[in-house]
Amino acid sequence: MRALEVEGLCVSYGPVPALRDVSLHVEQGELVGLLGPNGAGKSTLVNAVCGVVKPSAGTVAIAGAAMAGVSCERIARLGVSLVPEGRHIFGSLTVRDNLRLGAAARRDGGAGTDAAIERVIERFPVLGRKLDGGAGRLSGGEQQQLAIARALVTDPFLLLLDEPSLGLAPLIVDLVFEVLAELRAEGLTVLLVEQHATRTLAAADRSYVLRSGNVVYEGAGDEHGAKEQLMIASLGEDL
Amino acid sequence: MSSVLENLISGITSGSLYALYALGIAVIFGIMRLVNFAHGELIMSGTYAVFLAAGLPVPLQIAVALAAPLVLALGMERVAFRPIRGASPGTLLVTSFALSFLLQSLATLIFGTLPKAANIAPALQGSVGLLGLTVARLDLVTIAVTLALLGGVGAFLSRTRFGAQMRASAEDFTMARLLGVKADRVIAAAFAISGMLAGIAGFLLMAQTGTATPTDGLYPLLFGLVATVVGGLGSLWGAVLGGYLVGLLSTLLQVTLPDSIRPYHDAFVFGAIFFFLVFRPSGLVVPRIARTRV
Repeated sequence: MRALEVEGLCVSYGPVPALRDVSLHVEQGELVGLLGPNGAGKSTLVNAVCGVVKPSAGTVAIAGAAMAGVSCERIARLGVSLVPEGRHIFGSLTVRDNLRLGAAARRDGGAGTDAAIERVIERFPVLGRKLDGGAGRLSGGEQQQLAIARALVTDPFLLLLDEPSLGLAPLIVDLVFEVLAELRAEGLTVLLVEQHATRTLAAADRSYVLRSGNVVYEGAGDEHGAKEQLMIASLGEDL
Repeated sequence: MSSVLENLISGITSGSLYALYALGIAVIFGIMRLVNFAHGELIMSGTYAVFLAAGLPVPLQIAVALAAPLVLALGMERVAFRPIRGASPGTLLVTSFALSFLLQSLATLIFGTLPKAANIAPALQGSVGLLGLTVARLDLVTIAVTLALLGGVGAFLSRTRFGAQMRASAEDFTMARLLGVKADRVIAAAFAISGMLAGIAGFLLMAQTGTATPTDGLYPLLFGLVATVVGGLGSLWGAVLGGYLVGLLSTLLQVTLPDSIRPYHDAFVFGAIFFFLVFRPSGLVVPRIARTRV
């Protein structure tokens, strides 16, 4: 059974189409990359999967179950966790409270939250040292680690990451991709939205390229093909 | 010196009431980005509830004053605001206006336009000597009850898991929902807190004035809203701070303005707030506004 299946998805913001008949899938245990330039529709796609954006046509299925009309909190409780672009940590809460919020989505009713928090602290030790500090005081890189850690505390079945390396120092980007490699090795299903093509293609089992709301490339291990499509998507057909 | 301290206590009393009004408005705005103009009618329902329960012992009067606005607040969330959740701010605003007018008209229909008088909680009337000062008992009760309520709401928000969910929702509702926080529960809890604060405010208002009228909510709504904006729209503690600031300013003007213009002291309060907002439009506490692109 596929962890995520998107079929013929169309999303518009008023009269402006953001996604046009997009189909893609993620098998269980896969790490799939979703590449494309700004405005290609990548964030719209993950928001539609999470139930934040309502599609005008098409379907989203999580583990075989159609998600039409399902609220975003219900989708979260089914095990879909998003690390959004811009991190969206709760700056007025402590790091610990941010992590504890992940308990709401856990399928064990929150019983394993404390153990999950201990595990993410092992993965991101800097958070352990600042547990009772305000999350708003963390640096950008620390906030990104917190956003990923908070998503992991939910014990996700499918993890969606929207541009996790955006605006981060190279060392933190390395850490993020190291963690992604660990998660992939542990069998977690991941959809990774990125503009960082080389690293994403190296990390992913398969990749898609979005351009102007359309999937223009799908493949595995064909770095050249994906990069060519990305170049066209970024710079235009006339290149 | 003693009159200064007595005036200070009077200002803190007014500020306590304004803080209750403002926090009731802010707790809804923080989560729904809705300025609930019907909040005044929640307070009004509290005053009428106390009027109806006037013959009962004080604890029962308080229970009735709490229950009526609480049930009304939960009812308005379920019937009026839940169906239009996610609608444009304009739609939410007009709905809350309509609801306010409807509830005021209903109160007029049921109780008439004339004030309904009741002598409630006589034990709260009169004054007591405190450290050489003469202080109204009701002022002390108002300050103590407000501080206890603010402490209780503060402890609930900061020390419980559900409180953390509410604070997270107030900061970024969409992100909180993406973490599995149940929108219906959080919003209903916000309305319940707002209704409870309105109930206590209604009881204290009724104890002060001794009458209930259909327009009881207008003045509290106006001052609550002003305090919320002064404090920083979207910040709960900013609303409380704004309430105390407006209360103290109002009392200060009341005692310092010449007799000839003293009846217009509210105009001076609003004038001062106007100038304050020109120089600091975001209010005293700048809240973290939820970003929309999630």
